[in-house]
Order: sequence, then structure tokens, then C-alpha cells
Amino acid sequence: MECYITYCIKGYLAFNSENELIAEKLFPDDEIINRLSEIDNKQIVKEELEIIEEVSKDFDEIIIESNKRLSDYDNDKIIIKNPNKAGEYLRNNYAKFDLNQEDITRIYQNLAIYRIKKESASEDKHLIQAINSIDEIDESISKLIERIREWYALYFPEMEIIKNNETYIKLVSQNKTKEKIIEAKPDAFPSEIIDIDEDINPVDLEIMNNYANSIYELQKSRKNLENYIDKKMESIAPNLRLLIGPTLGAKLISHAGGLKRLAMYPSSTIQIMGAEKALFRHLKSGDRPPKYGLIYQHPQVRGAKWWNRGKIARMLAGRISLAVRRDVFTKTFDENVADEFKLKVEEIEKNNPFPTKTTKKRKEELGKSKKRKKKGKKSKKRR
Amino acid sequence: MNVYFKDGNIATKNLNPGTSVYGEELIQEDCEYRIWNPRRSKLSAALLNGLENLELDETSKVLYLGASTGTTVSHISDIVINGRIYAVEFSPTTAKKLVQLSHQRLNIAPILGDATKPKGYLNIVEKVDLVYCDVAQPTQTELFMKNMNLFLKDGGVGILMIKARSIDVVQKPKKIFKEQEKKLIEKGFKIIEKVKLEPYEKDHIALLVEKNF
Repeated sequence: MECYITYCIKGYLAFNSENELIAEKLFPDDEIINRLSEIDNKQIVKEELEIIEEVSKDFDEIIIESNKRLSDYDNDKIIIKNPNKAGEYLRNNYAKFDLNQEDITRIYQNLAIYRIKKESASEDKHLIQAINSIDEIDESISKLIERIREWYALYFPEMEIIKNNETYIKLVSQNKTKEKIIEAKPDAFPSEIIDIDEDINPVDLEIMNNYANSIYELQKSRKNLENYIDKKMESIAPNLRLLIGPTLGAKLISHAGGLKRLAMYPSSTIQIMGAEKALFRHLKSGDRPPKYGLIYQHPQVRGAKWWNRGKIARMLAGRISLAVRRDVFTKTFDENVADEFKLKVEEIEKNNPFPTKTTKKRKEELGKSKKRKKKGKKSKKRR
Repeated sequence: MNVYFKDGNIATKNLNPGTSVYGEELIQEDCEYRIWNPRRSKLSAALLNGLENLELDETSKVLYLGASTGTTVSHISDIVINGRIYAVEFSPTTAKKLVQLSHQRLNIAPILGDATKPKGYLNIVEKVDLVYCDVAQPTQTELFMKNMNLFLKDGGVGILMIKARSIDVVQKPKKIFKEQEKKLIEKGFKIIEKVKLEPYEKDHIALLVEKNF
């Protein structure tokens, strides 16, 4: 004899093969949301266990609608089938089971709110926003600095000597006037200009200083964000952070759309993440495929000899995959990831000290030999 | 069906008088009507373009995939006063608005779920009279069929809003529509009615589909 178990927002129900209700275990009214969310998290809830126990005495096959695996159940009579007969029957006859009330909408609302909260509470969401804002701040800072350099040159053109943007902004925002700037950094300017005293309208100077101040603030908040990302990475992805650094790690996570999704990706995908344009060009027109995307930013890849870069990128991508999976699934910390990677890089560089023939050259040669062979037939194929 | 013609537009009776959901115009007569803007809602565009065979009564159950913030959902909720709309939305941020809407309209059951994985909400949705699918995904025909198989009552119908551009940007819309129709027919569905949504939406088509037993 077989019996069918299903559940709905009210609780667990068991039917026999004639669609007669044989047992029901309802969730307590104030626990419904908790129970449904537990089921969402693939836990076996109390009512489910009770109903299985109750029916397993009288039936030798229990066909259950469940999102869990067979091995999660401690009962060899169970078969999982999604959807099963009882579920179909129940969903066709909701009204019969007193399921159509006004407060049911409340249950759906609360369940949706619970799921929304859970989605937005995950830590990598904040990380993704933070790394994206760093990119945006960088973009705006460089634009704003261009402007202030042009503007401040009206008053103090000699400032052009200072090439570093950060020092430039710091000098302008912290020292109000030309004299003070020269005082603060006397060795940077040639001594002749000190004597030239030009009057400037204080209103103009004031507005320039304000503007410089806001850029300075922006730089400060960029630094804060960087620290934040570093801390966050340390807590959610320590292995990845150690291997490729917080910023690049965060960029990869942001590109994948989440830490878990990054962990699920194959390492070949990680290798060329960020080089989508080149990848699709390769797929479409048969150009050579990209060797690296975002991970080109890693110093070991960028700094390698060009004939080794592809090899190192491939190896690094594999290491990243392993590190992220360790972060997500086993949550252990391996302090040797970075060192092992460096050793491997050295090994690759030792084994390949000289460039080999590139695929491009090989292709050209292949093309030449083919052309030679085809020469005889060429006249036929010409359009 | 509770849809009315008001000076050239179509409108529904406001279930929640005095409020407009997305800034649509309200008309006061014997009771309050909400203008159903065909540029905001594809169902309205389809109805204006002559969709005939869709019947919803006051107790109909609807499964709405791709509910977004609930523009169309609110109008269907006006129509199926005592029925229920199971509104599935994937994005948490837009679902927030949907939940707010469901506070005013008790026949909307918001579900945060992935329409490509209907088994995730299998046990909290009953069998419905109408499956409405507007998710603008390349795989939307497949997910539509999955949901139809799981949730459609005997005698129920489904509406599939196909946006050619979101299935394949390069190919001609006509060809895409044909391919999608073929997919449906192969899997045992029957297309009752086809309505193009021009001029309100470009390269869109609405298919009214039933299960072919």
C-alpha cells in the first residue's frame, strides 16, 4: 500500500491512493512563517517527521513531495516525487480544505518579506555595492581633478610641477593661499616665483578651496571604502583575499554577482571573466580566445613574461576556484594558498624560459601549406 | 469580464477606491474606474488590439509570472475580485513594491521566487485558471510550459507575452515568433489566439495558449 504526503501553507497532509485524507499535521498559527522558511532552507520540520512516523506504520511506500534529498530522510520507505498525486489533488481542491481565507494573504506577504530580507541581508551584497562605488568614485575623482588643475592654474600655474594627484589636492585644500602652499612644500618650487605677488579676489579663492575640499573628502571616503572592503573580504572570503588581494577578489565577486555564484563557476569562466567582449568575438569570428580577463590585474599575471601569462592565468584561475570554494563550503582557512601559488609560478617560469611558437604563427604556417595544396583547385572555387 | 470602455480607453473598477497604483487616471462615475494604460501594461495592449478569448470572472485564480511592481497585477486584481493572484517576482527590490500593493489588495499573494524553478513555489500555489507569463527572458517559453504543466487547471488557459528582442536581438521577430510557436505546439499546447502589440509595444506578441489534451 502506498500513501502520498504533501504540504501547503497550512501544514502537512497525507492521502491514500484514493485521494482520501488519512492524516494531517497543521503548523501552529504563529509558527507558519518559521516552518515555511525552514522548509525553504531544506530542513525537515517537526510536522513532517510526525506525519511520516504516523503513516509509516500502515503503509509500505511513502511518496512525498519534498525539496530535500532522499538521504536526508531516515526512513527507507520514502520515495521523493515532485509533484505527486496528492499534491495535484490538493492544489486542484484548495477550497475543500478550508484554505481560502483573507488572512492567507498575510501569510504570503510575510513569507515574501522574509525572503526579501534574507536576500538583502547576505553580506556579499554590501561588498558588491562597495566595490562598484569605488570604481565610480575613481572615475569622478579623476574628472574633478582635471577640472581643479585647470582652474587653480589661473591663480597658481606653477602647481603643475606636482604630478601626484593626491598631494596636489591635499596641498590645495589644506593650505589656503599660494604662500602657504609654498611654505608647506618649499623644495618643490623654484625660488624665483615666491616674489611674484598677484592679487586674487578672495571670493574666487574661497570657491576654489571649497571645491578642492570636497575632492579631498571624496578621496577620504574612497580610502574608507577600501578599508571596509578589506575587512569584509577578511570575514567572508579570507582565502580569496590572501590569494589575490581584497580589491581584485571583490571585483570578481561583484562580476559574478555573489560569493556563492563565484564558487559555482568553473575556473575557465573565472579565467576570462571581464574579457567577455573578446570571448564573444572569438566565438563569432574565430579570433583567438582571450587568455585572461579581470585576473590580468594580479601582479603575478601582469608581471610575467608574455609567453607564460596564459599558463599562469589558467593556473591562477584554478587556484581562485579552489580558494573560493573553501571560503563558501568548508569555511576553513589555508594560510599557504598564496605561497603555493608563487612556487607554482616560479616552476612555470623555470620550465618555460623561452617563448615557443605562438598559435598565430603556427596558423599562418598552416594556412600557407594549405594554400599551396589548394592552388590547383583554386580556380574552381573562386567566386 | 469586468473591463469597461471609457472614452477610448479601457478601464477596470477600482477595488481600492481613492488610490491609484502607478499614477494612472481615475474616473468617477457611478463607481470609480482606473484607466488601464496600454503603454504600461501588455495585457491592456493585447485587449485593445482585439484579444477576444480571454475570460476572467470574479473568482478566477491567476498565476502571474514576472509581476514586477504590479502594474498589470493591480488591474487583474480589479477583475478577479474574489479570486486570487499568485504574483511571482524574482528581484527582491521590485518585490518590495509588490508586497506593499498586496497590503491594499487582499487578493494578491506576493511570492519572491524564480519562475524558471517552479518547484520552489510548488506547495504554496494552487491550480489556476490563467497562467500569465511576462518575464522577457530568452528561455521564457520553456519556463512558461513548465509552469503550465504544474499549475494549470483543466480548461484553463495561459498567456505568453513574447518580446522578440529579449529572445534574440539579431534575428527577425517574425522568425522568433514562429520558432516559439513551434516549441509550444511540439510540447502539446494549442495556440488559440495571436495578437501583436503594435503600436503600443514594438516587436511583441501575445499568445493565448491552452493545453491540448
